[in-house]
Amino acid sequence: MEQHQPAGASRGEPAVYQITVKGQLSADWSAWFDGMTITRDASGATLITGPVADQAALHGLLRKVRDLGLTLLALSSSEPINEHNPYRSSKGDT
Amino acid sequence: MALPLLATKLYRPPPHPKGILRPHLIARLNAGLHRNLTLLAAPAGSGKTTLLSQWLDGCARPVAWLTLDASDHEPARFLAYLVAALQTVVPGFGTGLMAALLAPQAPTPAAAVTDLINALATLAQPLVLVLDDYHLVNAAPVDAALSLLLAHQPPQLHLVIATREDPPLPLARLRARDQLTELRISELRFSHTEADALLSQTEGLSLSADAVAALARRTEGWAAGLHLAALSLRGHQDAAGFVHSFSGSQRFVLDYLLEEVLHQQPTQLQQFLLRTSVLDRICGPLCDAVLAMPAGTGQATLEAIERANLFLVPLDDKRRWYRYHHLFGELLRQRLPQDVAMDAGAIATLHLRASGWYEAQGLMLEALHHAAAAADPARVAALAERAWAQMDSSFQAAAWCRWVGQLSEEVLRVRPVLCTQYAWALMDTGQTEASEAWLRQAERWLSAADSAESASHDEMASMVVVASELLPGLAARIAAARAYLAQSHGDFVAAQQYAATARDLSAETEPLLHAQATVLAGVSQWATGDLEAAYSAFAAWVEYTREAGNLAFALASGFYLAEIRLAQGQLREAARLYRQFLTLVPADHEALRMAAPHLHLGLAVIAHEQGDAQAATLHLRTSKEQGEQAALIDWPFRWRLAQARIEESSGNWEAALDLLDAAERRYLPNPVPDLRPVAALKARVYLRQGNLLAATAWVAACGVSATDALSYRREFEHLTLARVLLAKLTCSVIARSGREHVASEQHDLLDLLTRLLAAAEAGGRIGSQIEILLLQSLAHEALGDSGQARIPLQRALALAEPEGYVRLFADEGAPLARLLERMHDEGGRMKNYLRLLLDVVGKQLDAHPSSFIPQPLIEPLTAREREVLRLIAEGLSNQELAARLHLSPQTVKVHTRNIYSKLGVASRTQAVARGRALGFLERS
Repeated sequence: MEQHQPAGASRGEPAVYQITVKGQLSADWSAWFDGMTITRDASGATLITGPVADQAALHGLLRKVRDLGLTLLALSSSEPINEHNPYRSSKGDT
Repeated sequence: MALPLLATKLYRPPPHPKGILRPHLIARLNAGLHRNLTLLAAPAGSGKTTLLSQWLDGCARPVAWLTLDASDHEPARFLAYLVAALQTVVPGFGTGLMAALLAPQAPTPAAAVTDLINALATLAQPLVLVLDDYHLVNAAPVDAALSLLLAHQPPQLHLVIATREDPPLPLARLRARDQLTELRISELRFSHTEADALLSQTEGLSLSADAVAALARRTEGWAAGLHLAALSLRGHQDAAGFVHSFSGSQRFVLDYLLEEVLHQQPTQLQQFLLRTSVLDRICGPLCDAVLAMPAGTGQATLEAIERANLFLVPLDDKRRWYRYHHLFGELLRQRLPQDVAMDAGAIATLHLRASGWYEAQGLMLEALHHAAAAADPARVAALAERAWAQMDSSFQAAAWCRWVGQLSEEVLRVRPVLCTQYAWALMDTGQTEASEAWLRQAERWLSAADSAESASHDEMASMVVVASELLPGLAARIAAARAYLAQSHGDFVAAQQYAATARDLSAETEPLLHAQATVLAGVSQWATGDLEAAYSAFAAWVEYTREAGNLAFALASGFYLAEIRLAQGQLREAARLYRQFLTLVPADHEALRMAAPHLHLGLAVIAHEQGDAQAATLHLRTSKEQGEQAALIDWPFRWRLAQARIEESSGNWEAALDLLDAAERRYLPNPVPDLRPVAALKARVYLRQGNLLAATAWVAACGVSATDALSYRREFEHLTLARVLLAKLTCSVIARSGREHVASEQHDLLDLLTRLLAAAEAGGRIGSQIEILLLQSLAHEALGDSGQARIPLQRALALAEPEGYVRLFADEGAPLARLLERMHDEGGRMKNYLRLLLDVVGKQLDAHPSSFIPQPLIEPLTAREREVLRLIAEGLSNQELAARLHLSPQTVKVHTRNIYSKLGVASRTQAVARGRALGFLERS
């Protein structure tokens, strides 16, 4: 949906997303998650971090999480506020 | 016809012989059988399918099972599989629907689901239908189709959906109405007791209570985790040590356990598991091909894997096809690239071998899938080019189109044969613009080849043709496609030119294409009114298909031969043709199954027109009984049209309108011209109802006018317009409108009728001539010129008598009956025929007084009067009415009296009924 598209993605610059799942995954899983970086956090959860082209790609990643039976703990976006339009929210509402 | 459906998708996996029983869950599932839907929504590997197969194995009801996959996102395909699943428990269920769904132009999902619901409602015994892996469908049109089924679910059906995510169905509504049983991860988790039973009973492990508790905690009762843990423990001497280190690890449960289990297997088996994970479905010979192993190795290995309980799911009961448990397969595929020998090229090789094996088996869809997975567009293109004819003639044209659509323009552009095939496929799915663009690409190569000297040698060298045997016939096929496209744009002149080119080019080389081009030319000749030429073209096609042994085609096309005669008004010849094709083959001949319902419909319509109500009813009933079993794709549309015609003659206007609406919903665009649009048919019913408002609205919407240039294709609409003008003229005359006003209306109508008559005479259409002459007669009568009215009526009778027309006269009702009576009383040559017509009219008026044609309103209702009428229809008393409208009771009385007088009625009930008929009130 147009209005939920991250501002960055709509300009062709992928936004960086971070998916937190329960349990530790080794770095071997990076390729499986389309080259996203796999790291661990202090609590033993896994952070899957990387650029995501658009919302369709993000949903594709979430489907992979679902299809492995991984427990999804959090999803965040490091989408920066548009420099030229400081009033635009980070969710990309237009 | 052999169904190109995969039987493996309909196979219900048997319960695992050593699986632990979960009686408390089975009790909940049984208790939910009286509700509409059971939903198992839980993550991968939580034991949904296992629980279902266990439950249904002991369930008293018949069970239909459908395992879905990502390719089920098209509603037609999804519904075809759904019907196929139901056929496994109710043999012969919905065969007509199935045939429609598999036809190139499937019915709309709504129409198909309605038919499905009706078929389910006739079942004597309730059944269970399981849709497993529903999350893989992921398509809104399928969700919509299923929602429709749920909204009108007959009690015979209990639906079970297993999915990894909540489906976008109206779950909240079902919950609120107690129509939904839900099992989610909290219910599906294995308790400590169940985990103990699984580890000790199934795997024969003896573990301490602490160890069991630790495993249950670490896996959180996740079925897949417990199963893998049990497998890992099988190969461990030190069970306690394994449990300890597993419990202490923070790694993802499956990642940890799969590594354990894999490493316990012999190297060869590890490699087998990893490499065959690229396959969605697995069988022994396919494994042999993919791993380049000696024949038989694959089957033996698969059986060993099944014995070891390594997540191999059987897809049939012959031990032939298997798949890995989805979750296990995912984990294997994730590990595959980490195998040292497996770089991207090596994985592509696996896919290419799979693609080659499937191609050799003739399973082109799978061959294409693996070619694409190998990232080999040239192979995809080559496969597609070779597979087209086979896939086009079966149910797979849409899938073929998707694979080709994914190719880049660079790959497609240089392949003239593939471009033409793609254009043809796009044309079949109504994407005419894209189709034309690809035809142009193909034509570029052909013209370059023609002028080979001037074309650069390099350019011609870049052309790729795989199916070279198709190249010589390409120009003819392109011309045939252009004829089809022109026809669908309504450019009949161009359509005929292209069809002629296609015929010339294919005359000696391609008999099938030649015959197709000929009949295509016939279709456009039909649309332009050259009925004799169209008849010859169809006759040639019937002859060709008969000689080619395709009797089903011949009989279906025979129907159109008769339809053309019917359009010419030759009722007796049309009836003879319908009968001839019905008796061409023995009654139980397979070829007759599809065509017979159409042929009986044709006979019903003619019998009705000739006033033989009994025969009409009989043929209509036969058509319905047979058509519900199997029929040509437009039968549901045509059956409703015929039914509406009969209701209309009986004066059941509302029923006729409902049937026409229903027919319209089932109309499927096809090259055969639609010469009697449903909207015009409805306008005629409005006129018979006296609803001049709605009929006038049709004129505006349709955009016909009395001064249009005439064409055969719009003849029926112009005739309908003439009827509207006649009704208006009658009103004006009765209302004694200004002389000038009447004169202009009169001129428009009479001029239009004169022009229509000339066109119908030139086109040799007797039926149209009779109708036009009748309208001329009625127009003169309305204008008070009885002498003038006689002349066209006499001509109409002279034309109609030899063909036995009755309805055309009888349906005009009282105004024409008066004219006929006068003529009868004067005696003369036609006396007997006139007596017959008057008998039918008389009987009709006795049996259905409502079919007396009401006159349209002379004085229209005012806005206020319409408002009062609407409130009367709501059931308000005069007092309440006065209060609502802030009027005095006296004023309301005046309004109602005026309404009664204008409508020509004497009571509130009659006023409401008449108001409905005239369109002032919503149809009830």
